[in-house]
Amino acid sequence: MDPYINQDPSPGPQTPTEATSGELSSLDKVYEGMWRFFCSLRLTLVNLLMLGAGSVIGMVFDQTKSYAEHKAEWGSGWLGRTYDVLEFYDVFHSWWFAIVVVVLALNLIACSFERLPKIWIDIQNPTKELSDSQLVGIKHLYRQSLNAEQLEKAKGMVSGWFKAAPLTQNDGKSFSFFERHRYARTGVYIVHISLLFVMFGSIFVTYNGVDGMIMIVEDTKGRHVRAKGPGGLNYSLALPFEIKCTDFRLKTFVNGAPMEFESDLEIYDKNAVSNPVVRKTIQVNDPLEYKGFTLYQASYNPIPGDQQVQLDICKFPKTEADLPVYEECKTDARNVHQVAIGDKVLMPDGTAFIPLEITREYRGLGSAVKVQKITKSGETSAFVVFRSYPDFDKDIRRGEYVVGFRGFDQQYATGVQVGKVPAINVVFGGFLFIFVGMFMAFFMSHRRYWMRITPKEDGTFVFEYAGAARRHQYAFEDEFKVKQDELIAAFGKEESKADRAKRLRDERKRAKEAKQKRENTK
Amino acid sequence: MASTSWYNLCAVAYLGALFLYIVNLSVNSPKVRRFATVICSVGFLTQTTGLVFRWLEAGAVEIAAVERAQDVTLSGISYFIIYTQHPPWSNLYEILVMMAWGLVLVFLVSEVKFRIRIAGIGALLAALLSFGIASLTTDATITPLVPALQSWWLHIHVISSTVGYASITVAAASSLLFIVAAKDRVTLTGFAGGTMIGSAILLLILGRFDEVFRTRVYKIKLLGVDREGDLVPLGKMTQGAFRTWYEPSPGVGLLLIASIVACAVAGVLLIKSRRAMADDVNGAPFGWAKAVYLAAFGITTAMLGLILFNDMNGVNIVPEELRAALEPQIARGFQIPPINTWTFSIKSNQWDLGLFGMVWVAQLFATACVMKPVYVRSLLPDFRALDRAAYYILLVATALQTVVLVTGALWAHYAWGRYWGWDPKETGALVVWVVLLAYLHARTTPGMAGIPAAVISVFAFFVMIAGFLGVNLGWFADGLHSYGSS
Repeated sequence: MDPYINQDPSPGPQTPTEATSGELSSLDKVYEGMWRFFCSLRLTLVNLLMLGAGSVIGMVFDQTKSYAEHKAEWGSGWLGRTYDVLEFYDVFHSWWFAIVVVVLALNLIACSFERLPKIWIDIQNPTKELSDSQLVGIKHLYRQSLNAEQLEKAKGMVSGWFKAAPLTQNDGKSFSFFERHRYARTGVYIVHISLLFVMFGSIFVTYNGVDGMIMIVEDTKGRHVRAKGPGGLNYSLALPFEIKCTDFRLKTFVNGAPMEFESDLEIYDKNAVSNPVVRKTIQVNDPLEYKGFTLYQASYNPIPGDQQVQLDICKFPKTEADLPVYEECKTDARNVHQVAIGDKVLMPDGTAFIPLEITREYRGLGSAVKVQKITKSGETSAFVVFRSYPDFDKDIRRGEYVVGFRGFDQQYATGVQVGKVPAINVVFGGFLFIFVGMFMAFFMSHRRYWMRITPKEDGTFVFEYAGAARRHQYAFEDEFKVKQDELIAAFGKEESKADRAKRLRDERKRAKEAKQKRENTK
Repeated sequence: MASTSWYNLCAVAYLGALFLYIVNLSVNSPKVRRFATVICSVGFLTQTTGLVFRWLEAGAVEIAAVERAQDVTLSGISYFIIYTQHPPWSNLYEILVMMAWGLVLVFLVSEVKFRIRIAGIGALLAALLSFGIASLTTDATITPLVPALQSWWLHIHVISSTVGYASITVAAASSLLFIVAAKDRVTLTGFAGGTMIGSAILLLILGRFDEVFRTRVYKIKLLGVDREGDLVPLGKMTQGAFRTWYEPSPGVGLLLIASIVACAVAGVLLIKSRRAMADDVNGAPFGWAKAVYLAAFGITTAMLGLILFNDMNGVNIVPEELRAALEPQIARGFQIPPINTWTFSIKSNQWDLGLFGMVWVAQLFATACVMKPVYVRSLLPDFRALDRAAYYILLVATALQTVVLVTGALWAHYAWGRYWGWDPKETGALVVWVVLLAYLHARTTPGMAGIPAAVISVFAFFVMIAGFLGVNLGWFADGLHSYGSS
């Protein structure tokens, strides 16, 4: 088998030989044609282009909107009907996208079937001894006439570069062969096959997986998940167990943005020995797994309604002497009043404080509560107190009482994302092998070096040293040049191709003349 | 020293290196080249130092925010974790700075390995453009990370994507120069024709497709208002879609239409006559194609000039009716940016202006190609070296983009429960990956390995702009994957 020298890998698909083409039935010709179609690289390019274009369509049209919303937006004219037929409301599960993916898969399979076996055989049976015809096609070659002493030096140099190359003998000539990274040729096919795993795994997950959301109010249980299915339609899925949220905690930055939030979850399963089966606190990036389902902390929603505010109310320190009393009052837990919005806190002298409204983010100053004060005589006034600035009310308003805003209790519904991804290991395994294959294909190149020594009648030897690489031709050129320069330094520049051609022509001419002479003298 | 000061210093160094590389085009001296490389490397080290400082600054912000929110003092391992969890690539400003860093990194590596110095001009121009847009128009303040980004995946996912996209830019520049330099296969007239067709398409996109033809008006984006009715600060990325207010830029609409048509016609004429017009020293003899080409370039220049003129004279200002409509926001404390300043209009249009600028620079280069093709070719290195550089750089870009996709999928799986949701961000990264694969496959397809592959490489750059910057700026539909706002 010819080595694939100086070409990028993979010959075209096999064509039927002349002898058999006339005998192919028309059905065979159809199969042959289809096979060649699915093996071609041009199909790959067209496919990739269509995959890209289709994905862009999916980016341009909002895929999160429902079918009804799409219909409303595009109407029922010819544009709306095109939209319908081409399923632009769910591009990635549309019929034409599926065709592109299927053709891509067939392309991958056909190309691998076509080329991998030959490459495997070729890897196992490398050409170790080059014949003259094989030598013709090799670009990187150093050829020189050497005497016995120089030959030993040459052999020494070569074994200095590559230690594990044994010398073989054939037909009077000696050969040595060294190759590196021969299995790198399979890298491309490892990538392709892994891609197929990813594709099939993903299709399986699409139709057997669950991706949904459930909002659970604190202290309640939930079971029904709102899931997205193929076709972009939502459906309700009843889990085989119940999830209870016992507590939800939210920590915010001072400006109100969420810093960290977590939920305490309990799983109640009818079929389990004891309930709750599992208890775990989930956070963003830290989920809970149960029976193949994974529960992720995704979001939260404050529940409007009963909000409780914590206010501490102390008498304003009018004099220096009052200060320690004030300080003690502030630290005394009994002076913290837990009161709902709209309810009032009544002070001994008849003044009432009513929290009216909580603002999470008041002009960059953080969370604040608007408080109404009603004196015994019926005068009302309103003011704002800030959680981050406890001395604000004392220093600015300077009223009879100092109101401090400790915080507020808000009831929340926790947003739990429920996911079930069966066969995820197939997909992740595919990812891993894509990397392995890519590393082999991109960064490892199959390189071969041959040495051939032909003894001549006059006692000298023709020393030929050749090299070839399948990938990274430029890098290999540099690598071979280093060795070639060493050989040139040791044994001199080889004759140029033109000179060699002339010498061979002259030799042939002389041989022909000698033959003529012999025939004439017969 | 504050990180932004380090960045400003390094921008100066890059500018110096760019100047030296341009000078080197005419003097062609190894000393100048070496000096330019040294200055570029110094700038790179300065920027890296700036990045380290910014990481520390971000850490300090995180610590302060957590301590204030929880009223505690952190120490020990929790201090260390919170201090280091905010790398300097988590908002638009930082991403643009990282792009500049990646561009210079890829350029310096390819200069050592492939000895391509002319791509340095392109890489440094792009890096400075990135820096400019970052410093002049985006918000540099460090805000604490939202919970979804508080993950170790952030580190490798984002840095792979910035270095990968920077590689695509450098490779596209190399491929473009390869197309110009491959004298046996394409005439520069043909190349100029292709550039004009490309310009026409880009201008069409900038004119929002049929809108400029229907209304004969080109509108400048002034303000954005998001779903909650809040003003979107100019130059910031926002979560999700936002409604924008537009103001017409007077006179530009007609010039834009004329420019699109002229560029398309010039492109077609140039391509048709690419064989007939020989690439001799002074370019092709004067004829219809050349005349139409120069006219198209003139119209484009006039249009760009008018846009800038309108901006500088504050023509695109906030009209009073708009101000009235924004009263509720003003009452809530938002500041409408000062009107009647050109920085305001430029800030709101920085991306459009960037694209216009790219179109104009490309046409300028094409003009040089049409007028003096032999001189342009003499400036370029061996076309095989350019091809080799583009190939190896795109190999690295493909590997990095695979890392981006896979780490993104793994992160999404562990954070949200689904490893792929076809949202615009993920799909955009996939489309870039697919185009890179098309390049690699074209190189092994007979007949497509040379110029067609190089065209795909240039196309990959534009796909990257749309699939990365475009997605982050909300050109495409909403996604769960909204990049950190601000």
